[in-house]
Amino acid sequence: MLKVIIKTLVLIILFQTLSVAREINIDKLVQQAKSSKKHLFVFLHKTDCGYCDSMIEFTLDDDAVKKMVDTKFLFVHININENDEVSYRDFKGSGKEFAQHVKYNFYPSSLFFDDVGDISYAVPGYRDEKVFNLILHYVDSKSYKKISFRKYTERADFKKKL
Amino acid sequence: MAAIKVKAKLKKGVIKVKAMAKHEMTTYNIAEKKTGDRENANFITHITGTINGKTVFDMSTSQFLSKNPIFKFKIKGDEFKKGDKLLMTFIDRKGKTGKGKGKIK
Repeated sequence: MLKVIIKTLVLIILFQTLSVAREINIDKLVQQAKSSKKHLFVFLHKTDCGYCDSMIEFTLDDDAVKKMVDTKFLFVHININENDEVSYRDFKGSGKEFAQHVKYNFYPSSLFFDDVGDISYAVPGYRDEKVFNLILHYVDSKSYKKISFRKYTERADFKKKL
Repeated sequence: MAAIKVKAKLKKGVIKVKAMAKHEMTTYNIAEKKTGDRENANFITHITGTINGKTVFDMSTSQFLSKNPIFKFKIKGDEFKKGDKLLMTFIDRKGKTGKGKGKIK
């Protein structure tokens, strides 16, 4: 009887582990984003991180931010505590290793990839919905190629986009 | 800026509420470590939520909540409609209050 219980428990744990793990191929996602003329937006976060929760529950759940992300970005989240397998160019490893590889192992971090797969803009740390919405407009308009984010926010017309 | 960020959405007769209180939540242990006096502990002790003056949420809390704690709860939305305002208030150990309101969307 004990053996049966142990076997069942092992099977349940194995099934849960397998069902949770995802394969995230950043290069494929970049191509997918490119074909739909979007930026790839990778959100790095971890379990039991207060600022990550605030970002998820308030910033990313904001109506304006949600609309912008849905229409202009291909969104992928990576929880470094989950068993995701991430591949990016020559790299292959866990979510945590990926964050270390791209040198953004601060949580939460928002990474935006351009159409050749480079990180065109990155936002380490928490941002509220108003600032984040502005960042999304900044990335979507590819303004990062011309001016800094600070200069972008100083422009008179940016308020119209909010 | 409001001391509590409030978001409320009405869907299928249920109001889903998310609130984040901005508070340091200094525990007795941290207060002792930082100041040498446990009595300097300060954390939220009570939170209430009202819609149109009616209390819909009332909770006593302790030091075991994180800094800037997030609260999520659901309320039956029969009596309320979109556009009503949810007012949330907290009181901390030192008697300071914080408020925040959000429209039901």
